[in-house]
This record gives sequence, C-alpha cells and structure tokens, in this order.
Amino acid sequence: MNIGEIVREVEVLPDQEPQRIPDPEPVREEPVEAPERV
Amino acid sequence: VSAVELVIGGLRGYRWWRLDADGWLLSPWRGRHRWAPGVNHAACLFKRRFTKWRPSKSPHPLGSPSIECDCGFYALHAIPPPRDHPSRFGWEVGVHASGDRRLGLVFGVAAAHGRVLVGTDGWRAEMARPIALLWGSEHAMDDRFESVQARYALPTYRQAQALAEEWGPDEVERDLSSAA
Repeated sequence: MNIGEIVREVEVLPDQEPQRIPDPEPVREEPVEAPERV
Repeated sequence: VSAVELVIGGLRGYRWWRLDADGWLLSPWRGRHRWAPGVNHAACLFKRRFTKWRPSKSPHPLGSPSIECDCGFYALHAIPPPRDHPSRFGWEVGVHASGDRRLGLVFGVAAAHGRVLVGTDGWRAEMARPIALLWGSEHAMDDRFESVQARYALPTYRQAQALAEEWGPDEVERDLSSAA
C-alpha cells in the first residue's frame, strides 16, 4: 500500500471509557434507642 | 514533518487482510502478521532472499513505524477506486472482491493508536485493531464468514458505501492528511 507523502507524525490516544462511579452505599440508619428512663 | 501532535480518539483507515482457513485475519503482503481481535503492535520486519519475514535485529530508536522505513500497520484514507486495467499490486484489486474465496482477501476498516505517521493517502501506525469488514454482496457468507465472525465479531457490511458511512475515516483524517 502506498500512503503517499508523510505530512505529520501524531500520537493517538484512545478515548477513555467514562468510569462509572458506583452508587454510594445507602446510609444505614441505626435505630436510636430511647434513653432509659430512670 | 512537524512536531508530534496529539490526537484523541483513533484514526481510521481502509485496508485489506488475508483470511486464513481458521478465520484469522493476516497482514496480506508482508510478514503474515496474525491480527488479534484487539490491539496489535507493529514490529519492523526484514526478509532475506529465501527466509521468512521476521523482526529486525536492530529496531528503530522510536520503534515502528519509522519515517526512514516502510514498517508499521498500513491503512488508506479512501476506498481505492475500481480499476479498469489489470492491477499492478495486490492491493489494487477492487473492493468488490472482498470475501471472494479464490482471492482469500477481506477489505475493511482499522483503527490506529499510538505513534502514527500520516501521509497524504493513508497512515502507518504503531498499534492498530480491525473494527469493521466488507463482505462483497456477490460472495456467499459461508463457513469462512462464520469463522471470522467467531474470532472477531466485527460489524460486517455488504456494500462499500454503507461501510464507509458508518466506519470510514472522516474530517479528522482529512484534516491531518492535508499538508502541515
């Protein structure tokens, strides 16, 4: 194959796949114990 | 050639492969490099009169491709036009012959990564991967087609125009191939 006259040298970087940010863990709410009555 | 420019994405280009009996795509004219379905790395090859192509013992300082050499993965910016005279070189065969059992050649699109030398008519690249194929509408999608699909699972078109519209080089390659 003949690519003709070389006119440029380039560095080709592939597109980065967008990184998926994982969903945050759902906040687990601990049941708040009612203070003991004295 | 001016300073190295950075391009994000990938350069696309048209090229031929030879299809072997096991469904592998091979570089058809030099070295018979067997293309992996993913990224392939070029090596500078040499050949003595009666020996096979093999990696050069003195590789280029920056690796392949080198401006002073012919090495690297090749592809063209445009589909070669049909010829109305006998072809002088193997790659001058019309793309309608892609998938022809007698010729054993398949036309398609490759994407280049890494260091790439861009010419007025095509490019030579350090890394490349096959991304789409043409299987001429007059050739049966037979066992060879099934083999290559099993290996590469590439989108395959029956018409060159459809291949070009979906996967062909665009203005990025056209801009880069104009004189610096």
